[in-house]
Amino acid sequence: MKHVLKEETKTGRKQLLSEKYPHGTFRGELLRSFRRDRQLWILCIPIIIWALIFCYYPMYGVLMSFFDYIPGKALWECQFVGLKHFRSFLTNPIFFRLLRNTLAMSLLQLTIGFIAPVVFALLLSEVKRPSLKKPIQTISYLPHFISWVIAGSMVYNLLSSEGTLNNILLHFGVIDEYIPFLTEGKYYWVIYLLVNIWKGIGWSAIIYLSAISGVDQGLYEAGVLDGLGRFGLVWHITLPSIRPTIILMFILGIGSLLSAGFDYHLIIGNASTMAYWDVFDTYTYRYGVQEGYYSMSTAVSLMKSVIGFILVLTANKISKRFGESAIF
Amino acid sequence: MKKMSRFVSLLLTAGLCLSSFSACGASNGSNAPQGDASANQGTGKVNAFGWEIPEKTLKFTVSHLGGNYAPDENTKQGLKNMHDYLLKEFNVDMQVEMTSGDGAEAQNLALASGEYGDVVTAISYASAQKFRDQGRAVDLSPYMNDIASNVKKVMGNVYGMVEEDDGSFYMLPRSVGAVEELPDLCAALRYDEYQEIGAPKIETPEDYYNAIKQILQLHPTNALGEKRYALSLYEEEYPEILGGYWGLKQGWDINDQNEMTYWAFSDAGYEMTQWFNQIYRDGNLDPDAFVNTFEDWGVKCANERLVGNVGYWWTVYNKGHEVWQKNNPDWNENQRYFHLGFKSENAKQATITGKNHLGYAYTMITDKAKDPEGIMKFINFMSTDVGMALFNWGIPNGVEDMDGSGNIIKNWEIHEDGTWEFDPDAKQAFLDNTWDYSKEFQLGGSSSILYLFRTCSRWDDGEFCIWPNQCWYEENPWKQMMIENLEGTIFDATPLMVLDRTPEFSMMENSIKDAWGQFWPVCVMSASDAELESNWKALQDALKAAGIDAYTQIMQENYLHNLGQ
Amino acid sequence: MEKVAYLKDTTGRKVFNFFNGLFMLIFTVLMVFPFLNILALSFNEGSDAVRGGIYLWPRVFSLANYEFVFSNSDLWRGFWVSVLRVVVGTTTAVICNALLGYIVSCRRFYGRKFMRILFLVTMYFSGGLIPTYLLMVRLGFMNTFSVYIIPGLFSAYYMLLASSYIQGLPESMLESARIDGASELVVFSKIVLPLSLPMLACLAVYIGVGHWNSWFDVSLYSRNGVWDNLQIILYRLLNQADALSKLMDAQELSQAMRSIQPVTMRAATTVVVVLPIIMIYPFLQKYFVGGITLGAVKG
Repeated sequence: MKHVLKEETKTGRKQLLSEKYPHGTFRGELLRSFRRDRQLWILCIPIIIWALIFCYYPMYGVLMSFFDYIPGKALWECQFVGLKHFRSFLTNPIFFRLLRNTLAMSLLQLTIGFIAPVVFALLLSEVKRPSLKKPIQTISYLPHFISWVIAGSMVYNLLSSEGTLNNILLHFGVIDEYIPFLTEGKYYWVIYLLVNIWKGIGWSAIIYLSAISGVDQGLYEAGVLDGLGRFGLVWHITLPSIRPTIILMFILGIGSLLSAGFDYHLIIGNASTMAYWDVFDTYTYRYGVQEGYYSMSTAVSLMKSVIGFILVLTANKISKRFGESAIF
Repeated sequence: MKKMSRFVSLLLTAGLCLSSFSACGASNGSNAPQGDASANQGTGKVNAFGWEIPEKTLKFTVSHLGGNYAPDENTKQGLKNMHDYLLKEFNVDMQVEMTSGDGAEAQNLALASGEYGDVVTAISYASAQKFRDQGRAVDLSPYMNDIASNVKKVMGNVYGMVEEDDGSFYMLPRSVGAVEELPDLCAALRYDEYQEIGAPKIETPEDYYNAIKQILQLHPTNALGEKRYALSLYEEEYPEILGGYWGLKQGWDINDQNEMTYWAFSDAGYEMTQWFNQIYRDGNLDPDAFVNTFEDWGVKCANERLVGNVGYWWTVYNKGHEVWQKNNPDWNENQRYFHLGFKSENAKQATITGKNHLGYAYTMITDKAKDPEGIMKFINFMSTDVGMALFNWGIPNGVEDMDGSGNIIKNWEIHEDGTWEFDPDAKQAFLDNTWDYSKEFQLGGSSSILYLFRTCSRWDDGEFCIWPNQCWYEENPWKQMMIENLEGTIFDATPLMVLDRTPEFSMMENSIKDAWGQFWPVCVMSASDAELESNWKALQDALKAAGIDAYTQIMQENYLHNLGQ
Repeated sequence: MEKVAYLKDTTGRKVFNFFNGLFMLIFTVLMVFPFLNILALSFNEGSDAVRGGIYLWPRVFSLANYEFVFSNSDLWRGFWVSVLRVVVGTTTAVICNALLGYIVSCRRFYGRKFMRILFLVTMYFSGGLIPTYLLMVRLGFMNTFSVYIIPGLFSAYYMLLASSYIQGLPESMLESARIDGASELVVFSKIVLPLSLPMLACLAVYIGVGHWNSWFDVSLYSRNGVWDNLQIILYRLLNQADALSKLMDAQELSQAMRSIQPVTMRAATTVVVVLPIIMIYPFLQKYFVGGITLGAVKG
């Protein structure tokens, strides 16, 4: 009885509110929301302040790309150059090579490199014995902890002209002469992909494993009753259940389309393969950051940001249109 | 309330009077003038180093912005020892703050935030320019003929290169001069194996390679049965440091009229490339020559897979017999590389090592310094012989080893009367190559961190220099041999230095490095003469596209300008 | 797993199990080999290892590397800084991000989209190194512990991970709690958090490992070395050779090369730095395996 009364007064107040703050208008909705979700808004206040201080306030730094910034001088004391840095980068003859390398490697990462951890997570979830599953899971993320410097020397030991792989191939007579894996540019992208999968597969799979373990067990029971086999369960229950996570990761991945590795190239890339590894990030590092030439590197990263952001918005929109999960 | 404040002020006055009385009591009969003793007025007391001990502690902070600081325990102990020593013996409290990340980044962040010490050191010329242009540095020229006259004297000719056009002076090179007779770069060959083939005369690159080929015929594999190579390279080695045997000066072909040609456009450069190409085609060049890091190269060197080497002299020590000595009980004295020089028939002179007398890093006294004169006085002390001994060899008269064994680590001694000598035991250890270089760091000198100014040239006595292991050549037969073999291959490369590196210039230099980095290895790894020729053409085209003409012009103008100074 | 034990083993499943097992075996070997290699190196004598060729077993066994590593007082200090950073940083960041994730997944919350975009923008746009550094200097964060924690409290990426999971929770449960008069914080802590254990564990692994592995902010903000963590010590050690090779003066280079730590020392330090954090995953794994049964809660 009491409950009902409470509900009634609540609806009554709601009606009053809707007169004061009319539906449909932005102002009205916002004010209504302030009343209704007071608690959430109060929780948001410190978070917004945090974001303003730590993320938005430093963003004045992007203005550097329109100046010839000299460290130590205030921005307004530096020479304003407009779009000079953007223009000189886009008209640089090296630009297309950078674009090609960046796109090639990040597309490989976004396709094969993206699917690999999903497949691994699904296969691992089919290992039903915890005594096997847990160690494999832990071992799979070990390479993530090995720094690129050490990983680099391992790649050298494996793939150099006298490396393990060449020795094995020569020993079994597969080849007559060593293959220069590390100096021939044509092998570079594939090696990049494989090494990155090796290093990241267990790490990236964590999110999918967590999503898989969040799947309602009742669904599987129902699936079995419906006569689904093992493959069927994966296809009709597991995959659809973790699809939001997969799509989320994919949309986020698209946003970093213009980033394709950094440490890897500086450590494993060498002068002879440069035509295949020089990407936006390594270029701005070598030509901008190392020379204290921040304006140029800021301009490039601003371009990357804008394009990445647009890509994410587009991907998000497409995902929404197809009724899939979206990030906002 | 009023009463209270009056009481407090009374108490304060009383306290002040008392403390000034007690201060008078402490000075205990000394005739020091009271009140007007300025900070840099000395006590009149001079220590064994000839340093006039200031009455008030000379306290200053140093920002070492070279980056990449990765100390081990010995180094840390050394820095602490030195700080305490300076405070005790010199009444100088020098606080050094190190930076661990990238040096250039540290310098830019220091500029941007205004967070740096009274002195900044180990900064690049570009950063030094920024400090100067932004009014953050102290003009040192007033001191240069006065309290810092020794600094000016030690700098010699290079003073003019860093002096401003208006006669002011901001950028103090951190390290000037060079040990003139000591080569940095040279060719090397296995001594025992060279003797085995009858020690043929080596005068040209061809002679050198022929000797290597003979050795390879005798010993084609190492003890593990792995194939041996004539030469290998590692990533820091590039034509600029390999071309001296063909008469190139740091990659430049310079004629009598001082006209410069970049190596890739000169006959000497082509000849050099042909030579490497021949070794490659014979299968005697390590196929990973262009992939190796220094450590990868070191593994091959340590496994006795390399008969020869062209590059820095010390690499074949470090990864050669110094490793064998430790791992092989049967190691004998001759099992090592010896150093030699040669020159191509077409070259007028071998110009293998270019000595740079200006160094690469700078020290500046900043606007934060309260007592620049006192600091400059101390830097002047660092430029004296005993000052350099202190800051580069370390604390004299020994320190106790931090491992608690009670051992004393000592390399030199100074006496009350100011005379000093190098410790004979330490000298013997250097000569026998038994000196413990890691323990030495506890002396606070050899880490090359604490000095603000020094010269690498030999001191006036003609015997010593800042590196004890580079003294007494006549007593070390191998070093002696190196110096004799490479006589006349060392030239002064100071005029080739480009000081004013604009962003445009740096970008140009990077592009050129990228261009030959990609195309030179291809030339070396050509399968035939025709292929080499076309690859060489491709190298030249890439360099042209990267702006070699403009680069050459800048280098040429800079060279002539420097020669004029 | 008990719950799926009722699946009968047909031949097809047996074949699949066999191949899956084989794949996992090869996979495990590939993953674990490099680590064994580092382990072998770390137990090898230093000057012998210069000759290379050590794979799975040390050639000249020695404990000297570990003795040296453990005698380093900085390393011990760094270890405790790292532990403190992981504990404080992970707890705060996991709770903060989960809370943010909860806020942005309340369907009826009008500020939801605003908050999402507010954070999403920060994923792609940042001020870069210099403005961030200046901010930390101005906030007085230099040489403090807070500089590791406060700037890392929220992140768009973890917000999205958290919200994608929380969105999957049945809205009706949260709503009924609200109708019962529970405040948002109570709904969050009493209902959302317990239901999101796999997600929280996942966040904890990602954030914890991130805190343990971070060295860049340490190199910038820990100028006096008081708050140096383990990872920065390892970073310096690993990059020592590379850093030294940039020295221009040949004499100085030859001198400096003598101070370089042998490859075995680097291996030993890597082991010491990496081993503790590897333990975090098995510890959190129990929240991964087993899954949850929402049906029970619903009823």
